[in-house]
Amino acid sequence: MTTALAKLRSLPIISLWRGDPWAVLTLVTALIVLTPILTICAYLLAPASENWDHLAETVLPLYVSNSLVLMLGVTIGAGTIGTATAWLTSMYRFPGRRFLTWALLLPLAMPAYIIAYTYTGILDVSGPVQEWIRQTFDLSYGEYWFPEVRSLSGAIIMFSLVLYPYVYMLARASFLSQSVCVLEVSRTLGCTSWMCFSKVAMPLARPAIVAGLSLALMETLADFGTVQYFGISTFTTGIFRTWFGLYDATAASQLSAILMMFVFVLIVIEQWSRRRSRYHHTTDRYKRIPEGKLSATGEKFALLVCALPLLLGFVIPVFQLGIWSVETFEAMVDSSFFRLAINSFTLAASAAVVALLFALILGYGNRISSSPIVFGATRLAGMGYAIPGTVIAVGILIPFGAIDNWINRWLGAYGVSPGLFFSGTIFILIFAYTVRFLAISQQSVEAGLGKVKPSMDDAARSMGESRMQVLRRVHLPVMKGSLLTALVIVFVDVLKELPATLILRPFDFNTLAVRAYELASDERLADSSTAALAIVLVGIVPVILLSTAISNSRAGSRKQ
Amino acid sequence: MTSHLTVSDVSIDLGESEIVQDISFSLQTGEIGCLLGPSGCGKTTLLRSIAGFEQPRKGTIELQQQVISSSETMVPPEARQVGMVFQDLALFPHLTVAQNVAFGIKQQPKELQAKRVADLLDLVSLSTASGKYPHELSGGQQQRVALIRAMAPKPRLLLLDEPFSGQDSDLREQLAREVRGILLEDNITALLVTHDQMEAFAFSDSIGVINHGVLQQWDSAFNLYHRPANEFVADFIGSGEFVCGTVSASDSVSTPFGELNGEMTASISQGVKVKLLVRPDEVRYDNNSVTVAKVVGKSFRGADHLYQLETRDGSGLLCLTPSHNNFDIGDAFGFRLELDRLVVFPDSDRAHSISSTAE
Repeated sequence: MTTALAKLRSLPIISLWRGDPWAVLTLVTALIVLTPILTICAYLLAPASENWDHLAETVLPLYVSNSLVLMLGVTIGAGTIGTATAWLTSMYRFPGRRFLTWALLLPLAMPAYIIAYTYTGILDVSGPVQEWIRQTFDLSYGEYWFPEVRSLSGAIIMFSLVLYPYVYMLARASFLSQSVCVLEVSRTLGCTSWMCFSKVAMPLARPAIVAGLSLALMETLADFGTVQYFGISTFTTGIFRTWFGLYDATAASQLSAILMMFVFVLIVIEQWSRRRSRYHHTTDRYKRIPEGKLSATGEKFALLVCALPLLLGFVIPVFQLGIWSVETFEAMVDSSFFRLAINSFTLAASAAVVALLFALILGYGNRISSSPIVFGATRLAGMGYAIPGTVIAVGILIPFGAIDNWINRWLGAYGVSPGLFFSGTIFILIFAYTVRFLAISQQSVEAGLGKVKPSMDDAARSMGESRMQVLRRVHLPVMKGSLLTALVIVFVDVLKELPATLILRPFDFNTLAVRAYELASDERLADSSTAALAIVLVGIVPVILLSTAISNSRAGSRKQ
Repeated sequence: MTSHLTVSDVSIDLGESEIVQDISFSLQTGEIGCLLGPSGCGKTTLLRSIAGFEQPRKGTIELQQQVISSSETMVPPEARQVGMVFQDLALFPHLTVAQNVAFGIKQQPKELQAKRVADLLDLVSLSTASGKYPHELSGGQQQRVALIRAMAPKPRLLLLDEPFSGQDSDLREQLAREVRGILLEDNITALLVTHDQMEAFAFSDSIGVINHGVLQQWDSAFNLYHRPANEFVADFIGSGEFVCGTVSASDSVSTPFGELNGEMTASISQGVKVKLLVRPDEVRYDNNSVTVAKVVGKSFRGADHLYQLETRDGSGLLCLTPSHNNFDIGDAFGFRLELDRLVVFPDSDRAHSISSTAE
């Protein structure tokens, strides 16, 4: 007996627990969060199903080429818009610049699938634009050429319009943080203003731009709503079809695994660029960049370049959604719409709370334990932000389905058949959101914890407070703002999330996003507008938070 | 008289390595002590162990005859009534100055709290800042808030961990003197940790010099400078150079610069080779002297010049002389040595340097 106990004690996990319970708790939490991703990775090694060969021969090349074309297009589109607007707003003075500086972030509030529905409505045969062309030029349908929105190039434009803010945000931060000294030195060495941009500022900002682009490309790969609606076959639609059409979990997981490899490449590029951009800060001395003056034509040009993405990516679609909402208000806004809203809000709020709790466990674990394993695990746990919702959904359904089956078999032996415990419940839906959005909570929690210096803990204790009291009187009040930010951002992201919700939601359970998707798929674009508009409007809140956070954290600005 | 704080034979390990080794010292009530040493010498670890954040592996720490730390007992920091001022001050950013100061006296009735806070703010002339937040204050003001916050609960002992290190060097000594005045007024027993000797001299009654976790000497500032217990202290406190010599009598040492007489700080038998400490103010410029060195470096410091000299036998000396004695590098420089006291250490270094070249 004693030897058995001693043996148990010598198990690594037990001895680690005795020495460092926080480390164990952190590792277990990280492992739970990583389950879906590990599941998908495991399927890379599984033998291929019979459908696989068929898939590989027929649709897989299409998925790969479509995804690559989309990525290339978004790189050019979002890259150009993001860099150009960032450069103009950081380096030059022109009318409306102050407003545009933050307003250029607004398209972040617009999910790609919603902008896609809206532009389809605007540019369709029966839409206002084509109607105007027919009336003005007295033509009928078929007698004139008009670009098709629901196409690969249409999708590229939609993605570029809503994803450029990632590039804009990071590129602008980089331009602003470039010490003015570097730029002034290059001027004294004889560079013209254009040479400054191309020879100094651009190379210095390149890592930031690449990091922004990788984020935009991750979103592109994760998108389901847009490509599904435009009828473009990509991995996400393929996974969906294999899962619900062929009921082939293995093939769906293997498709997910290939998609995840694309994502891993992006993660590596992103992390690498971020690290490089940190080294590119050559000095700690900052001074506000003196903005250059432009000629009257130059000012107009700069205004146009910066206003256009905002108009196309936010103002016009919101305006159109607003018109449709007013038209369909009576028909659509009834008790079922409010039930939908309440469903969405409760779900989003619960997921935000759960993600925050997980992030707190990981954050404190990392703070208390000095183990590099714990540090690595907390970093890995935040990987879900890059993994498409479709992949996470598949990675969750497989293990939880197995657990459900096991419970049923076990209880079945006693003559009880309880049905499904996890699959098709709110529980796994919230879990999926936690996996996907944990990184956001983690970032905020870490920012908050960073404000509580270890010496503050010690100071409070030397003044007679116990550990628990220190949490209540120091940690909570200092971190309050950051925790609230975490809740708000995850809340909104959950509200916008479509593919995981679509796959994991309980039968007959609808959210605003799913409803908008269903109505749009039924070609009831105007009817879908109220739900879509609600999502966009709520989405503005984190954009405002983000823009204030950026202006507060700018290098060289007064910090407390 | 019994002592207020007694540290006896304390050794502290952090992870695998021993940070503090067998340190003992004590402070009387109202005495202000200081632990002085280069960074990483273990002084902060010792301070944190007195505060209750690190447990000693061996030895005891007693406060007013109560054991607060030993390998068996460990009174948690919150139950020690030991105040601490931290290097980064650790002011709570979410609380105003007054709320920061009142943090440790929350259990007292409101009127008493308000009175104590007002008194302390008055003591450090910060009454007008009571409603401000820490980031709205200057560095020196934050410093004073951190100090009175630690003083507010009337701790039995006040610990200060390099509290002036964030300040401008001109300001440090002045702040140290100010804080000393405040502590004396309240008859507070305090222990400061610093690596800056000027700060230590300005602040404390007695100073312990620590190197590699070992207490080298516990003494007054005067004695540390004039009667260093070993070569490390001689080298660490003030500046100066060692001159080789041989003990010729109980009060004299023969050196390349002649026979020097004076009270010897250690009793060393005749004929033993020694190193003699020569401070820059003991080297006097003398135009008539037959002993001549070459100027190899100089720094103008306003009232005086500090010359780096190289003597004929190749050893170095420092000389502090009024700045009107102006020489150029390479000039010949006549001097004589004027020592009241002969600070000598047995010269083990020569054997040392031979063995190290043999390696």
